[in-house]
Amino acid sequence: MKVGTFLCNCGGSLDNLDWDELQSFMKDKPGFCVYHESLCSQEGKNFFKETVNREQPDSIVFGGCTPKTAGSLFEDVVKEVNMSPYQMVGANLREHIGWIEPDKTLATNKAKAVLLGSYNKANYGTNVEKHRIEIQDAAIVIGAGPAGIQAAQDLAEKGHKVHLIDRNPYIGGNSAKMGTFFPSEDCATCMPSNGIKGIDQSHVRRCHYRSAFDLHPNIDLYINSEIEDIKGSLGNYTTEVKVKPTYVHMDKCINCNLCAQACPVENPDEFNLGMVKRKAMHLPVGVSTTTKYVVEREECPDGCTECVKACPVEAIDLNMQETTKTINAGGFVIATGFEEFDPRLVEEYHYGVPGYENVVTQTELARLLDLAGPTLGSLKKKNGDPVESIVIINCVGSRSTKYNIWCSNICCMIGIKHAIKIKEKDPNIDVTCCYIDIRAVGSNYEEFYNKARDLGVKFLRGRPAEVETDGTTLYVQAEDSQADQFVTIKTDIVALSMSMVASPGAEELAKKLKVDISDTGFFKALYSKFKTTETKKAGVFVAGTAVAPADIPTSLNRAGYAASHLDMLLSKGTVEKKFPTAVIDDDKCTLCELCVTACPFGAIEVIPVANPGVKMQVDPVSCLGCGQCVSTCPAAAIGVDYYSEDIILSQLEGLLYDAKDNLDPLIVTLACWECAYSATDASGMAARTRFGEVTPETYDHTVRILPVQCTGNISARLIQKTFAMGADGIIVLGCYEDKCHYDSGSQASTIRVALLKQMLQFSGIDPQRLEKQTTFFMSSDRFTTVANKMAKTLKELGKLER
Amino acid sequence: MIESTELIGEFKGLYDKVKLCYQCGTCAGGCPVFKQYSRFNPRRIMEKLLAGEFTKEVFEEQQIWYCTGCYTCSTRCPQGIDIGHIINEMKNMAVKVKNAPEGIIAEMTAILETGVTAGISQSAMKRRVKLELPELPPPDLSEIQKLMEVTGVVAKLNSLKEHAN
Repeated sequence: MKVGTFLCNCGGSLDNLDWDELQSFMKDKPGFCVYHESLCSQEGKNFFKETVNREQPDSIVFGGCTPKTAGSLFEDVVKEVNMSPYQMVGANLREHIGWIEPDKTLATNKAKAVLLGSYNKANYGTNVEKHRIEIQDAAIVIGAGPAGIQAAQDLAEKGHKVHLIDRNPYIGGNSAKMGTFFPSEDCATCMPSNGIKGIDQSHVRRCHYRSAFDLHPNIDLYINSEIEDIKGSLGNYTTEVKVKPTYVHMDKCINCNLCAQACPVENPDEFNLGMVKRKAMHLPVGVSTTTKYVVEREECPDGCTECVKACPVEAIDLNMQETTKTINAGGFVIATGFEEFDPRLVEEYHYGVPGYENVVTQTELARLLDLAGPTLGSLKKKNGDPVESIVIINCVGSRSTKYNIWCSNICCMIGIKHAIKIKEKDPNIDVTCCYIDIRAVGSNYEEFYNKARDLGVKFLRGRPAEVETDGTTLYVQAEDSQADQFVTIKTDIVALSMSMVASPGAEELAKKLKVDISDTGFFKALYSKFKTTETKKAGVFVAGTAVAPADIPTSLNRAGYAASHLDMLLSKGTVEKKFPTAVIDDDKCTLCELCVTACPFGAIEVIPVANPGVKMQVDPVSCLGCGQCVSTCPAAAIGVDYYSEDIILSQLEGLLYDAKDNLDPLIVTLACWECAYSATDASGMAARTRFGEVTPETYDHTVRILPVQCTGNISARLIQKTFAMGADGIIVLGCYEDKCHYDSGSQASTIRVALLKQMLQFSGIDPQRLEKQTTFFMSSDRFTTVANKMAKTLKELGKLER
Repeated sequence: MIESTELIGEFKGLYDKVKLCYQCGTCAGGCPVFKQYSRFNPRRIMEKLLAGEFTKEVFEEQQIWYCTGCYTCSTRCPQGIDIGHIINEMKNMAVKVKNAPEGIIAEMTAILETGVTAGISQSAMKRRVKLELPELPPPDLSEIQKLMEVTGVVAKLNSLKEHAN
């Protein structure tokens, strides 16, 4: 292995290092060492290229600015000399030394250690195996509500094949039941994506009332269907879908209703609150643009074919069978939406209790206000009696440590929308809206709230304690907290604004897709600030209310965002994975399967082999190279390219080369390459601006920093060996546990360090010699505080006796 | 009145228990006392705790003693705050600073001396005979007094009486 060392003075900003001494130090090592005043200048880059072309090194050490900067500054140049970025190992002489340590002798000595460490790593050989991933140009969108349809239409318009799957026999999801949406107060099923056979170029919002099923030609729709099984990873997923029969060919049905007229079976219509009857052959969500006729087959009398005879277009096939379809796709959009929280669980409002039939949910109230609903749009009680007053109760099941902790985002506005609808139809109906806070946070929402007040809707600040009945009338008991008064409101109907909870089956689907469900039960997005529609599984996106409660505009925005990101992936055809991957040594592996559970990305699978029966196999596509398997493996059988234990140990050997002779106790900081390493750079940058002063950003010269992929990579073994090699103290510097770039690595390392500290005590080593700290770029003081504290402690404790 | 600093730690504990309260009024809306008497408002008591104005409730006013301890508020609170228990704790603090209404002192004295807060009325006795119900055994006064002695109720009652005089 020929290692070429390039030293750079950063234009003279590192003059407090003794460059002559560093050069002569490195000249002893096999390979070559050159110095340049400013390597990133055009002249410097030419010098770099000429030297590499002449000397032909196998790998390079770059001694100068932080590898975070050098990596991007020299990316093109490294490519030009036909090397991979992983063949260049950085030695951070600037942020970690030159800008921190004013004392020339101390700084130069630390620079020697850092250079030697990087030299050892480069000398070990650090290239990373590349993996090419073929991406199948097809997407599966799960859930055909507003978000699912939007995502499917967007992807289809971009030219991708889309398979849109919904378990209901209709499309539109919850919107198909809601009638109208706020704040536009128009059809809930009127979506930009519905029935336009491609994106409408005319820029005019058009009414497509009968054409919600006229999806883009690139979309295959599967209604009444469920996902059975999903296999594969990014780019190549194989999905089995169970398609249950509706007994009506959707493409032929013209919704003429002749079949329903001929059908002899009548049953209560659950969709219309059981207030009216429906036939066995019926529209599952009433008169809607998002449904065709469906037969409830188990209700059919034996041998009855009345509907078939009545159908003028031969759309009905009562012998339709359940089928299973296998679909291959490159990625997913999950748009499984939400359902209303079970209102029976909030017992004091007595939903579902006999005598309380007129306590309804907002979705049910929407039916009572729908022209096509059971009361033809005029608000009536369940028994058909007229209504004089209604009370709307907000936050039922939301904002509660007892039920659901979250604000469900849309309930205030749905309540207001229904209040306005009622008042506009009949101003004499008394409408009271009981609330805790009105959250009208969207565009035009506050105006909408004002409109309700203009129309005479009463707003009462107080969450009702109980709904009671005398058999005919409901009594809502509450405190009017603005008047400090107890009130009992006599009313005919109570409408509960139920909390939004994740769609049933979300958890099961998450297991099949190997993605996470968050504490709220909704799908967990990769990150809370950005990547809000990505999941931890590459190629699997989440949109609409499947990720969190949202109104329609936000749901659709998420859908577009998810579709656009999936489009970027599908359009590539192939992607190249250029970062490290875990490699399992089958000879060392004891088949304990701990790595399978340790991997947060489901990248390690147990696969059958002839001998010894099974083996652990890493899927290089799903593996992100964090090394959480490495630190869990009791047999030390797993390594990660570029950050394997052997590589880290050889680097440590250089970093601690003077441990025996150095009278000061030395501290090794094992820093995660993401936020934590950046924080160490940030302290250098901050110290630079006030050079020579003791600032909170400077830290002791005995602190030496070594990057790892993730603190989850750091095993007990590595800690033990680091102490054995001469470290007197170790700081494990990771990202915040909840912001770990590899899901759970920092959390795992925090637990591991806590346990190790106990073990240190048993072995007679002061546990203060090992600390875990979390930080990020903007909070570098968290690093310097713990570094300086440990340096002070170690000066009292002295060097570790070995 | 003893120095309030003694109770500061306890008040801090109460604040921690009530800090999730967003004043929705569910407690007041379900409170059987508030329905009849709007000056006793459990939501307002929680508000005072949140605002740090709780000392007046304990040291000067006697509103908390209207609480019947039915715990409807605790059952209904959407944030799971045990309001009934918090008011009980405030009653305990009030006793520590010897601020209890006469009625409470009289009730405690009645239990100590007769074993009950209110004896059975003559008419109730007559009804029992008519319904052929067995005679009620008298309360075991020595046991009740012993219980009140060892739990410290007697000592508290004495100090309250002393303060009242």
